[in-house]
Amino acid sequence: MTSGMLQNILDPAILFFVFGVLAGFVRSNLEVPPAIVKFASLYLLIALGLKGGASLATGGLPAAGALALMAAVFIAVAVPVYSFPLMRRFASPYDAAAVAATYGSVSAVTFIVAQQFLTSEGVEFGGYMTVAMVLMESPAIIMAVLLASYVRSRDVGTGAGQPPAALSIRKVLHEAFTDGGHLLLIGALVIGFVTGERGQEIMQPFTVDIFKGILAFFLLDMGLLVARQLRDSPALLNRYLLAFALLMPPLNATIAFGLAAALGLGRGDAVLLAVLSASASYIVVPAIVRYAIPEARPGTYFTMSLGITFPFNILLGIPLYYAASGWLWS
Amino acid sequence: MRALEQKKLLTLIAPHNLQRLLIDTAKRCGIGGYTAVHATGTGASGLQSGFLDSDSNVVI
Repeated sequence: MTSGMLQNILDPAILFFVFGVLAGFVRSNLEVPPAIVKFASLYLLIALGLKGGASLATGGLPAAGALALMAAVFIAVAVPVYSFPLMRRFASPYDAAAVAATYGSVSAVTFIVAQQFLTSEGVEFGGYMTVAMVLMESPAIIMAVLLASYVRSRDVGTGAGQPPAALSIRKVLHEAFTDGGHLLLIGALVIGFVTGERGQEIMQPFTVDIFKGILAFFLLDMGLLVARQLRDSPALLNRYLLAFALLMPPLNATIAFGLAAALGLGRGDAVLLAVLSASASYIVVPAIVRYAIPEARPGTYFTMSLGITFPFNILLGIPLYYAASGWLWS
Repeated sequence: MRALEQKKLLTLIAPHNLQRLLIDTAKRCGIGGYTAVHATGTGASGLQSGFLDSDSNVVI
């Protein structure tokens, strides 16, 4: 396990993340222009989708793949269901619903880093795991909207004042499925699938050769952002929220491993399922929760997912889950 | 030269991803026009660093 952690930390992309955090904490004026960050995030989604689609075209969807997809959707629905009552004990109902949605969804960057880690360890995984990632993005949002509607209806019932008008589920679904990044990922998956190996060869200089460099650049910016979030929003987090942000990822990963073992998934797929379960969204879901659950405080759910869970998963979680899979899949 | 007229100026500071929704709503209410400017800041909602779309504000 130690060698896995060491190897993860010594990866240049991860080191740039650590550097970004340090630069942010010493209040350096180092800044990556927002347009460049936006390009890097869109590039990573394109590369991820194309690779996943091409892999799906050559490998197809075996029975194990279909089971992995079903497990992914189950986890995306289950996590908000048990996270909400847990969060309700130390946060407002709206914050609890927003956090449930955030932790029920996924982080594409954490997924990408996990794939890179598995590749460096020589562990194979199916291209259908990218489809699993896409499938896991939206159920949590729907769950959160339903939870928030339930909480609002209780507020009206108890006479706690007229709640603000919320968007319809249809509108929220429309925003979720037409979100730029989400749509781009699906588009890249389809294009990767249709063009297959030939398409992958053509795109290699763009999606493979420079991938690591752009990932490093993006993680540098994420490090700066994490540092700023932790520096400027600590008062919004109490020790219970901190504990939730640190303990839920390994708990969710454990549940995913149990499901993967029961379904007979391979080690690589199980690790990726665990990483997806352990990750929390900080781009797509927070953007949608802003108007689906306006009563929730971004300083809570955004800081938890980006400031605590994301760095935990990137630095410690991925090697930890991989080591755990070694015991279960020996 | 266009004649000057009295108009009410409404300034909204909101999360970036609400921009389209707010402008569509304002247009239905009959606004004459708008200007949208990307913004960063901090307050009760926490830090809006401007690094990501989900972490940015807009001033309309």
